[in-house]
Amino acid sequence: MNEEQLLQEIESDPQKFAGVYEAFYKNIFGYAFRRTTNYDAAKDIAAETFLKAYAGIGKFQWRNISILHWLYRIATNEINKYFNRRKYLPESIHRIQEEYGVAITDYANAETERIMLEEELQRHRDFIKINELMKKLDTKYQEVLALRFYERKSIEEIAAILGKKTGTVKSLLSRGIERLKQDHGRIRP
Amino acid sequence: MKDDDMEAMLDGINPPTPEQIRHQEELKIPLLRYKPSSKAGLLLLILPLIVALTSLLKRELGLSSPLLKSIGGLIAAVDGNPVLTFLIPVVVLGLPLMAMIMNLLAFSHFTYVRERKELLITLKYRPVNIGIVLFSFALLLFFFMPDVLSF
Repeated sequence: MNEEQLLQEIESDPQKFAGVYEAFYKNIFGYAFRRTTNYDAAKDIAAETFLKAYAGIGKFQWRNISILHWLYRIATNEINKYFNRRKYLPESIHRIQEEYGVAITDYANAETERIMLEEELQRHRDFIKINELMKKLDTKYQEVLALRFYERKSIEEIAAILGKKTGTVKSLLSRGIERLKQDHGRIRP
Repeated sequence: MKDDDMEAMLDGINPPTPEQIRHQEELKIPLLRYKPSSKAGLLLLILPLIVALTSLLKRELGLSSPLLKSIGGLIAAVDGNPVLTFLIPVVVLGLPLMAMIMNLLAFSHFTYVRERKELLITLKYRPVNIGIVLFSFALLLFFFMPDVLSF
């Protein structure tokens, strides 16, 4: 089944959204985790992304942008909110918690999973170093660099995710690499 | 360091890939059950709104059309039927009341502070929910007006 058909099915039966969730949750959680390196934040961002997608799937129109790219776009916005605010407050999760009294991102084995992922993270020392440098850059550079080098997306895919022209993406990538290089040079002995 | 070196370094980076996560299944259930109460509130108001509009257009403004006639006839028939007559108060009172309560709860939060023996009521600013509560209330008031439902 292609994505266009899947969207039509979701329109008639919203429960079919479970297919989108199952197919792409790991991509989105992984992206949020690689950007934030924080288990709880990544879990909140992934949940918020899927809640927003679920609520807005009716408005999503298939125009050669894949559902995954659309999810990446929502997640990127949420990650930007996380970095720009002192305290990240996922609106949809918060609303559900208030309306239904359920903390949807509370997970019984969260502690075990958190420790496991933190240990996994420690095995990627080069990534941690680069990521720390990257977090100091402007958001516009962080977005393209993370999508290119963490998520291995092509220029065209990044352009589709961020809703930018390919030329703009190329220029942001090149300037982002340049700034990263300067910052890297500064911290090297 | 040249730009190419940095690019090569970034190309060679090995980011973590959290494959073994298990919380995904637990999150799925509440996520797919979630339905905003404002939407449910709006659906509950469709039938009473049709009844109110029919009454308003037919009785108050004196308009007449085959559609209004058939809706008015249907309501009168249901009301006249001894078995189905209970449906009218359910539609004109029960549904708006339910929409009102659902949306009232969506923007009000009650907390009982045992130590101080206080009940704290917090009202959040949620225009859609507040709008539905006010509209439901207006519908209820309308249906309490005399002769509104005599088609």
